[in-house]
Amino acid sequence: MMFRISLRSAFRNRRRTLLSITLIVLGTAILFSLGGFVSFINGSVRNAIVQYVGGLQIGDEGFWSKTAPPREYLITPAERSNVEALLATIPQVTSVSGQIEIQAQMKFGRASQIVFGLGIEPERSTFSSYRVLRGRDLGPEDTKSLLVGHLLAEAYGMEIGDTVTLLATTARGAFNTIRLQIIGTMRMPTETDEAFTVLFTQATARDLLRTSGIDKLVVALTNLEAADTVAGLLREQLPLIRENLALKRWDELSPEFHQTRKLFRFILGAVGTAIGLLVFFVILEVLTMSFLERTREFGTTRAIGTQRGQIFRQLLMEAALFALLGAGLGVCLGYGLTAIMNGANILWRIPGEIDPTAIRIMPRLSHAILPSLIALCSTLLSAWFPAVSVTRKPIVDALRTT
Amino acid sequence: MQNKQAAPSAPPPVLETRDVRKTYETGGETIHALRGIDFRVHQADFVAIRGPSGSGKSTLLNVLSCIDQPTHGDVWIGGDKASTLNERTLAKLRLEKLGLVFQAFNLIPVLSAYENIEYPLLLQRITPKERQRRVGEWLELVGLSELAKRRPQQMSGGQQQRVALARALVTEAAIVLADEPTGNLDAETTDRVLRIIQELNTERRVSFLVVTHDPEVSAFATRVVDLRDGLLSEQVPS
Ligand SMILES: Nc1ncnc2c1ncn2[C@@H]1O[C@H](COP(=O)(O)OP(=O)(O)O)[C@@H](O)[C@H]1O
Ligand SMILES: [Mg+2]
Repeated sequence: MMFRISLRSAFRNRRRTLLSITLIVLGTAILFSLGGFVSFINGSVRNAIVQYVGGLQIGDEGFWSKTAPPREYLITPAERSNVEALLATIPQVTSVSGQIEIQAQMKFGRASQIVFGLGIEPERSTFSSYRVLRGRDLGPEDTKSLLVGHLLAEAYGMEIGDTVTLLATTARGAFNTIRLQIIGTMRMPTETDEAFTVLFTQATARDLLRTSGIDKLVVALTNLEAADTVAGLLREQLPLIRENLALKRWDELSPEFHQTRKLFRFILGAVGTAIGLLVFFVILEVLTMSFLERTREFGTTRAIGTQRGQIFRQLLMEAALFALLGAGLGVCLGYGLTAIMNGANILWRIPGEIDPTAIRIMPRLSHAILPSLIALCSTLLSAWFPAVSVTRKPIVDALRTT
Repeated sequence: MQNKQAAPSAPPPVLETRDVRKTYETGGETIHALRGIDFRVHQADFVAIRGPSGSGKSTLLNVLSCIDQPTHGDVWIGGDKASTLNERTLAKLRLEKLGLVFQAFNLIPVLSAYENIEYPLLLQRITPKERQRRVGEWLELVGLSELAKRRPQQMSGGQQQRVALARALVTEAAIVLADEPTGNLDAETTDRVLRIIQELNTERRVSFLVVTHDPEVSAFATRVVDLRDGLLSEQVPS
């Protein structure tokens, strides 16, 4: 009966009910779609990061902290094959490749520029944070060639086929130079990358550094959720191979990921709070009016024996009905909104990605939890205050109101 | 039909007051609405309380209905002293023992006639079958079986007041307290409602306490009491 009264009372004033429900529906729909959008962004940013750093990286403590003298932290071929043998026993590991990072001085004609050189193994590398813009990609046999960031090439008027000289400190601390031919220019996730990065094979890097070692091993995983498990296994085993070998998970390697995630979580939180407050104040207004209008009804029902608490619960139930109906419809509308957004093929350049990608929001029912909770809580809260005041009124006073 | 014997074997009064007083403080002024009411209602009494406007009739009825507290004195419903009961128990007592009827009918607007009568039975957690039986019986008694599905705003004042009567009595209350129950009805409808009340009073031995300033109502009553300046004086019927 109480439920019947709640239900019918909730729909007594059509205009007001429509206003409240519309507000809750829109609020929920917006939050729901935004939740889907944020999880799309997070997923994309994660992919972008993994393209850049892989799932895990293994290197010497000295390398990670940059405290060791130059190149003392290099991993020797023997150590590398031990690590690879260990990795081969872990099913979640899909590939392993070596990387060398070199700060070098590049000379082109009379110009000179500090560049960030990355030595990769094209045949095994999962490093894919670059796209060849002109020319061709690196192959395993390229020992005298390099790719340059296209902004770097533009800045100095470099053409494909031009030769540059790289000057760097070798593993033993001497100076060394090598001459390399530009075989292509590349685009990368950021303009800084494009203005300072050069890419060559590991053979070239070892030649420049006069070493047979590498800086670190990049490990690709079947899925990122496995990162913790694999990291756990490795943390025990790696020190047996070499005391100072340490590993970094993908998310430790890119603080940007956490920043992006925090930023979007903040946006979601801010929008959620704003919508919650809006719903609270509007529904507060609506319910205050609706409850006050029925003061005499509550006086009557209490006079004939209804407990104050029963009426209070009835009023909260009425509000909950609004909220649940609104949230339900809102989630449906949210599905519609995301479908429309997906259909519109909106292009967006994800931080860490090279090319803009079309927004593809995959709404999941879990995205409905937060918006529904916000709708329910703010509506219940906005019912609370008028419900308290209207049920606290002495019965005789309540009966006298018209 | 007056119950005058005070023999020790007599059942306790349905309702009793002892030196009930009520004062209102408004803007520094003290209004003595009730100045010491000593009064009893026995089973099957039909009491009319008369008095001009402002004489304290509503104040008295509210105190007797246990929806307002007297400033002084006690109200007894059956064997229960109202002033010793907490809010919860008082609400339960109103539900079980009193039937209230209001001048403006005060039905729940979103419920049908049937549901309005059923309402107190739900509060009492009566089984669905028994509810159905009793609501049906009372709809019949007040002559509204045809209008069971109507909402209050689809009924006339007289019909609404009959629903209200049924709602007050469906719990098998010992006494019905009504504040100007015919105040919003025309003469013909008033007559019809009063006849139903009279019938319930004589045939079902339900006690009625009706507050009114309408002389017609007192004509149906078995006892007529005048309230003047907060004091009662019972009229000995001639
Ligand atoms: N809540 C109140 N506050 C102050 N004075 C009141 C209140 N209720 C009633 N009174 C006063 O008490 C007296 C009796 O009122 P009431 O019981 O309503 O009389 P009646 O129902 O016979 O017209 C009147 O003088 C009225 O002004
Ligand atoms: Mg009055």
